[in-house]
Formats: sequence, C-alpha cells, structure tokens
Amino acid sequence: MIVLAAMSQLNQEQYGYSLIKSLKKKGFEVGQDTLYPLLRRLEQQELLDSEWRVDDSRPRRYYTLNETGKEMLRDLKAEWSEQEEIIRRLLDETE
Amino acid sequence: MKLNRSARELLDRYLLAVKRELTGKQRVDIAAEIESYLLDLLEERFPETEEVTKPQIEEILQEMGAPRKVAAQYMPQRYLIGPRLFPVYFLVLKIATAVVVCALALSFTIISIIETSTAWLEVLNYFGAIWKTALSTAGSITIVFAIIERVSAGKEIKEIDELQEFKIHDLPELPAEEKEPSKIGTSIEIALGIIGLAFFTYINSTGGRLPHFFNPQTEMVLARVFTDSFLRYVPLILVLAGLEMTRNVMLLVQGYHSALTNWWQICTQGAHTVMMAFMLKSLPLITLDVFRMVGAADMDIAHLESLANTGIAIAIAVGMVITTIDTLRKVIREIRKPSA
Repeated sequence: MIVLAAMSQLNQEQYGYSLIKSLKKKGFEVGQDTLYPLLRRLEQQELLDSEWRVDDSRPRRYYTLNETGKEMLRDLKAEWSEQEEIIRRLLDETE
Repeated sequence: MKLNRSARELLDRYLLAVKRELTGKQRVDIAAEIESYLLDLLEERFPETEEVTKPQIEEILQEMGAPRKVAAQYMPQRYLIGPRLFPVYFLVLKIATAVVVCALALSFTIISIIETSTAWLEVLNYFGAIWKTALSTAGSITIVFAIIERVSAGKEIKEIDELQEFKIHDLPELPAEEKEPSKIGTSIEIALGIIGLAFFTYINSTGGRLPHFFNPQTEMVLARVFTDSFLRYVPLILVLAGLEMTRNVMLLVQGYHSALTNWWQICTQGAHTVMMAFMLKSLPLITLDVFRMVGAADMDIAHLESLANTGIAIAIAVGMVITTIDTLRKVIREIRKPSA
C-alpha cells in the first residue's frame, strides 16, 4: 500500500520531505524511517530515477518515476482495484 | 534558520554515527539524504531568522532515534541462515546430531561393558563428551550453512530447491497408534507374552538352568545358562511381561488405542529401559556351564563366555537406545495429540 501511495505521487519530481508532506496533506501518513529506505529500494529496482540538485542553497535528492516505474504503477493500480473490489464484495455480504 | 556552532557539531556527530553503522558504496549518499531531511524538518519548525541551538537539535535527533536504528532501515535484512536454507539446515542438523549422539552413546556403552571397572565419574565424562560432540556437530553444520548462505546470496541452488520440492509419496504414514490395533498382531503379542512368562517362570524355578541333550543315552540333565545376576531381574521381567500382556488383552477387547493403553505402554517401556540399564551393570548374565559339563576340554570356555556376554550387552544397549527413542516419540505424540 505504501509503495502504491508513494509511486502515485512521483509522476512529478519530489524530494523525500516534500513527498512526506504531500502524502500527509492527502491523508496518508508515513514516517521518514519507512519512506526514505523505500525510495532507495524502488530506485535499486530501477523503478525510479533520482538526482541531487541544489535548491534554496541546499542539496536535495529528487525522485521521479521512470518508464518501468510508470508501467509498474499501472499494474499495481489494476491489481489494487481488483483486490479492493473483491474485499468490498466480501464485506457487503456480511451486512 | 541557522544552526549555531554547537548545534552543527552535534548534527555532524549524529550523521557520522549513522555513517559508521552503514556499509557499502551508498553510505555517504544515505547520510547526506538524512542530513537533507533533518534540515528540511528544522526549516519547517524554526523561522528563517531564528538560530537553532544545541538543545533544540538534540530534541530533533531524539525523535529520529538511535543512529543504529536509523541505519538499520537502509540495510538488507541480516541473518545467519535465511528462510530459503533454514528447512534444509534444520533437517541436516537433526539427522547429523542424532546419528553422532547415538553412535557415541553406543560406543561408550560398549566400552563401559568391556571395561567392567568403569566408575561413575567416567560415565559422567562420557555424557560430557557426548554433549560436547553434539554441540560441535551442530556448530560445524551451522557454520557450513552460514557460509553457503553468504556465498549463494541471490543465486539459485538446484539441490536445495529439489530437496524442498513437494512429492505426494514423501508424506508420512499415519502413526500406528492412530490406526485400530491389529487383531492378529495383538494376538501374536499375547501368545509370545504367554510363552515368555512360561519360560522365565521355568528358569526361575530351575535356578537359571535349562535341559541339555548332548548325550541322548543319558537322562535329561539341567545345565546352568543364566547367572545369579540375571535371575535377580526375572521377577521384574515377569511383572513387566504380565503388564504388557494385560495391555494387549485390553486392546483386543476395546478395539482401539486409548490414553490409558498408550501411557501404560510408555510406562512399561520406560521400566524396560531402566531395567536394561541396570542389567548392563550386572554382567555376566549368562554362563556356558553346559560345555564344562560335557567336558569340552579343548574349548576356551571362559573366552567364549566373555564373547557371549559382550554380544548380549551390545544387544541390550541397542535395545535400550531403540526403546528410549520409541518411548520419547510416544510421549511427545501423546502430549501433542492426546488420545481420548
């Protein structure tokens, strides 16, 4: 779920802290201790590209989805929708 | 937002500590990203004009947690033997340790029989040696598997994968106790029990003597076969055989294994094991007086007697090991899955 949430926000370039803030604003809270290592793992899996850039006189590492990442995001979204539909049907049965 | 000198120094010390906990090429890069996060956090909490002091940064660092914990988030999960190898490792460990311990126990038992003067201290030394060997076997296997784990990280090991393949015919048979007792088997056991009872009652009444017919012309003569040491155990043998026979009759009547019959068997087997252990310490158990009586002067009867007693001792020791393992297996099964 965290993977999907993080990847969904990386169509535009974001650095770690801005991604935490952006997710929090949309109601999804995630700590730096989870998000930063996750971004690195996604980059190692070649789903993200990253670069250091100096902004406001300070260096920050920016992440963005590459083509493989975008493709993976589409697959994950489809899978999530399918699972969500199944769970919803199961829960409806209990009402 | 600006950091004063002592605050900057504290932040640098924290980042250095994190860096020291990290390994690999990316350690500097990871530390730089953590620094970037901390500065973003400070920027949000303190106005642009404010100077951040040491206590303030200390509070932020406390929130972050210990450098070791922060660094651990970036490291791959570390283990000596991972989930891929663990089932095979555990199987090898169980088999190798059991084989080594049983072989050593058997050899020590034989030595203690041959060297009749074995003192209790030596017996304790034997147990110590068995324990030491079991530990070193387990340790060596663990080291070998830990090396395989390191060397084969990320690689496929065909042999391991084959070992973990599921084959229907590898599934274990249901334990005998879960099946109905065999009527024929139980009847045979009862018949053997009766023969055994009759035999031991007879030798008890003859003082360990059996008839021999070396010279058919003469009348039947009794020759000593069992020593007094052995005869001391005959009453106990009779009691245990009687108990086992009664259990078999009960099984035949009720037609199923119950908690009572199972624990009954565990207790009699346990008693058998203890008796066998005492018997090993009471050698010689048999004598070859029959050869002396027929005047076999050219035979080294004392040597033959010694050989026969060693053979019997080995048989008792093997029986003891097998009975102990079987009893333990039954106890574990009865505890895990008690019979009704």
